Amino acid sequence: MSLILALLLSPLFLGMIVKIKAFFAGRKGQPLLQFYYDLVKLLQKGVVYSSSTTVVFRLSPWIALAAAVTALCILPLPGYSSWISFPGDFFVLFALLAVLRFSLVCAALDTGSSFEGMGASREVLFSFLAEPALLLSFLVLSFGLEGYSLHEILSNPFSIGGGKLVALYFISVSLFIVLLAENSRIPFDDPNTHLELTMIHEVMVLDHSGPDLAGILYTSALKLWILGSLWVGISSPWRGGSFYLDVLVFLGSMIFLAVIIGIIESILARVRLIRVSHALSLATVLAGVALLWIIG
Amino acid sequence: MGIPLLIGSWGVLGIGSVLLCFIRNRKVTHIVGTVTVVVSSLAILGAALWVLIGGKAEELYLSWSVPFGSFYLRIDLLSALFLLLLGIVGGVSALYSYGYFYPESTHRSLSAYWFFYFCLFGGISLVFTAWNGVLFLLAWEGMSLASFFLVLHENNKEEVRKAGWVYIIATHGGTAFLLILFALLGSDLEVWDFHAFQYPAAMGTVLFIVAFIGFGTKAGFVPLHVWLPEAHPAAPSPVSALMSGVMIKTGIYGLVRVVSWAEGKIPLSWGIICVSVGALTGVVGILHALGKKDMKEILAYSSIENIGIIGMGLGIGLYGMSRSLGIGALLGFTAALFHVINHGLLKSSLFLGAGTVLHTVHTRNIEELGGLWKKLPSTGALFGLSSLGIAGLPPLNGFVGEFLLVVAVLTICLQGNTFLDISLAILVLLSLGLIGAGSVACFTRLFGISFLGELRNRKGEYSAERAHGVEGGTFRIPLYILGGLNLLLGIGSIGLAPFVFGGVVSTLPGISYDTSLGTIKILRQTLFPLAIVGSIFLLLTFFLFMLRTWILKRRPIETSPTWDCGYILPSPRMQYSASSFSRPILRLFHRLLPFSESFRWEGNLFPETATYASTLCDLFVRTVYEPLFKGLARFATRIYGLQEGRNQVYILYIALTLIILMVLFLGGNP
Repeated sequence: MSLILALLLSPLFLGMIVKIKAFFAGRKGQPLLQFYYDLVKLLQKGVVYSSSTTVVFRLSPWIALAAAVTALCILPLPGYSSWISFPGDFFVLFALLAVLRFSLVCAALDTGSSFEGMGASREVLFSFLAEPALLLSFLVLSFGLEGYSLHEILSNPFSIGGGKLVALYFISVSLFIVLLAENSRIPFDDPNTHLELTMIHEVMVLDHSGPDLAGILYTSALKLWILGSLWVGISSPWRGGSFYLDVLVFLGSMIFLAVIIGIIESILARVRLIRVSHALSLATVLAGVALLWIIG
Repeated sequence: MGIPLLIGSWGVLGIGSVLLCFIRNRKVTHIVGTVTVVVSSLAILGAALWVLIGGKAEELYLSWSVPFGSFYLRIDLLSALFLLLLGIVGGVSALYSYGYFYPESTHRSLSAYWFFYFCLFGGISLVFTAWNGVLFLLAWEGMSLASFFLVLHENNKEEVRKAGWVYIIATHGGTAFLLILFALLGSDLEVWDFHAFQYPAAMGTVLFIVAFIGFGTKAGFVPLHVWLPEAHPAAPSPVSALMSGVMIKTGIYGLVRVVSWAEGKIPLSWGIICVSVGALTGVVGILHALGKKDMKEILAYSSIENIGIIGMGLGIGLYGMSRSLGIGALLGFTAALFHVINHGLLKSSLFLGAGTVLHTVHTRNIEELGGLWKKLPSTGALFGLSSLGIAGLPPLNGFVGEFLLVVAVLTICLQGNTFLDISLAILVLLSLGLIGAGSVACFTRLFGISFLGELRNRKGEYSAERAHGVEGGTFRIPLYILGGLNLLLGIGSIGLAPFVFGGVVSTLPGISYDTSLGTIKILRQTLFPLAIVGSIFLLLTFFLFMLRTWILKRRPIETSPTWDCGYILPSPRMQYSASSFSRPILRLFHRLLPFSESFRWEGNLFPETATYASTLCDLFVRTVYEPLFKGLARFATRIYGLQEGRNQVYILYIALTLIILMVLFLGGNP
């Protein structure tokens, strides 16, 4: 179920963020379904390959997309079991996101362009800082909620009980920082510009075109959806009784997340690159504090 | 059948050595060497599989007149597991040696190389099967010396001789500790058979630390790792593969054996030492790997990092044993042994790939490389695959050990629930996070900079037919074998699980039946879904790529230069370099690591010549070993004055000594 929702709705999620940003800027903004139009348009085009590139470049968008879709098979709808659920599955999910990163970074280096090399270098830097925060957060959750798998962790995080609830808030903030950084949103990165030297993710895909680019855009929408629904899973306390109610609550929470991201992107500026590492270290520290809270 | 096959494999090596003495034709020598090792490794593989599948240990006892010694061989499940790794990597590296040294074999006799290869191969197999302290030390020393001579294969080069020097000092330092270890263990025994080596665990902390230093030097735990980044670049690539893939694992093997002799409850400190040193080793290893530019040095540091992961697994196992958390302990040991096998296969394929690169372009400096994929497509593909694996990513085998380690830590954490349990869990997960993301950075850098993009420096130019020759048979087949195994063990890790688990359970004393049943259940619950996830991923990739190919069939596909933002004269030198790729991460750690940069800019307003250089030295060489050896040297020069060279002064020394002794001994009772 979570797989189908993600495959269908993740571009819409991006559309909503853009719409909210347009609203804040007093513009009408692009249509809500613009990302679907983009994907269809790109799928109808041919491709231009750089003469420097090899088969790595041609394969990479599809490795990345396959990794994202496989990760979605592990990702549960909060409160329900996913297709594949087993002890320690969150580690596999993060590893699949790392496969995604591996393939995109290799594709970027394959073009031989210095811009893409720079983007690749920053991408690995930020994940280097984000990964400990992610793992620590899920150690806290797994320990606090006594569950080995995502299904057990996300089924009802607010059952964690009175004093330990604060830990959950810390984790929630920590995961939110990681979510913004990993998906290259403001204040870490600006998804709108392609050629500023500050760019991270977007500059890595400068040379992709046509269906390949469609694959990559779709992959990044899915990645945002994955981390977003993890965040929603631990941050939203509502678990309705029935399945359809839960799906509605989940979708409502995702809309709420889109609104928050949209607002943050409208009111904040992108921070200097050097500050990014500080913010991500903050995420790790928050997860550490949460852990102390859980133990103490 | 296990023991006869083992003896048979040594017999083959013996016959091979005799043949090497009598054959004059260099090419025939080369073929005889290769065939000998391949046949011998097949026999070893047979012995290992026989014991593993049969599930029963085999032994052979012959008395020996050497004091404390006996010729006692025993292949139990743990030995068989390590022999399996040796059989694969040893045979494949020998096969690779054939192509690698083929040009050399026309003008230089390789009988010395093959002889020491036989010794190394036989030595390692004896280390894994010796069941007597003296025999073990003998095998250990033989293995170390043989590998020393193999490292010195290109001894006409200054840096190779220096590396050999560092290696022999380090390895003998380790052996000295092993001598102490066995002397302590066997202090009141007549024969140092392993059965008799029991010691009460509560009193054994000193023993454990001695063993940890002795075996840890071979394994490469920080700060005893310094010989690895020296010896691996200096040794020929097939030897590096065998050393890094199997030989450093003898340290892990020894450590597990020593632990298995402990009686009673193990002190908590053992596990804590092991986890902390492992975590430090992993993080230090990967940070150094990120900063180095020599291909094989990067691989050596990555071996150190992986030894760190193995160390954390062992540590969690030991800790779980002392906390009576049986399932967590078994999972920890299983994770460590899984990683031993997987790292052995992955790292040897990477070293062999590096050998092919070295053979083609004659440089190990990745700053000069680039675009090798176009010249060496199959080497590139297999190198990329192994890079994905060693970075600890699914669907390859490097991921399995790390994943089991996480499950072990979670189990300890959830079942134990004390402050110490959780602190160790934090330590392991934080370092695994840093190691995981760091090795993605490190191996995208190594693979991306050297195989993708465009060739950076004309110095690395190579001819097409050279590349063609290198891509031929004996170069490729070993890589295909290892690559296939890596993928197979990534998906089908559940197939290897019973063997690894059997090795762990048969070695460790005092594991209850219930605990091992519970662990098997968890192993099945985690490894089977892993296989499904891996298969889904591979199938999806294949399906999506086919879909893309089908879509593009009727579309225009054009080729043009890389778009560099409108700049019309790009040159390969403008590509992002290896140093610039990893600089941001190293800058973050500049207070910790000896990472130095120098930048010179000439000209005022308009850019003229500018130079930039960055180097990363080894943290422990800089902070520990250099001051230590400098201090030693200074001390030595200071007392050098005593050695005057005049007989009169020496006679004075003798007289002085005699007077002092007289005063000392007669002073008390006149």
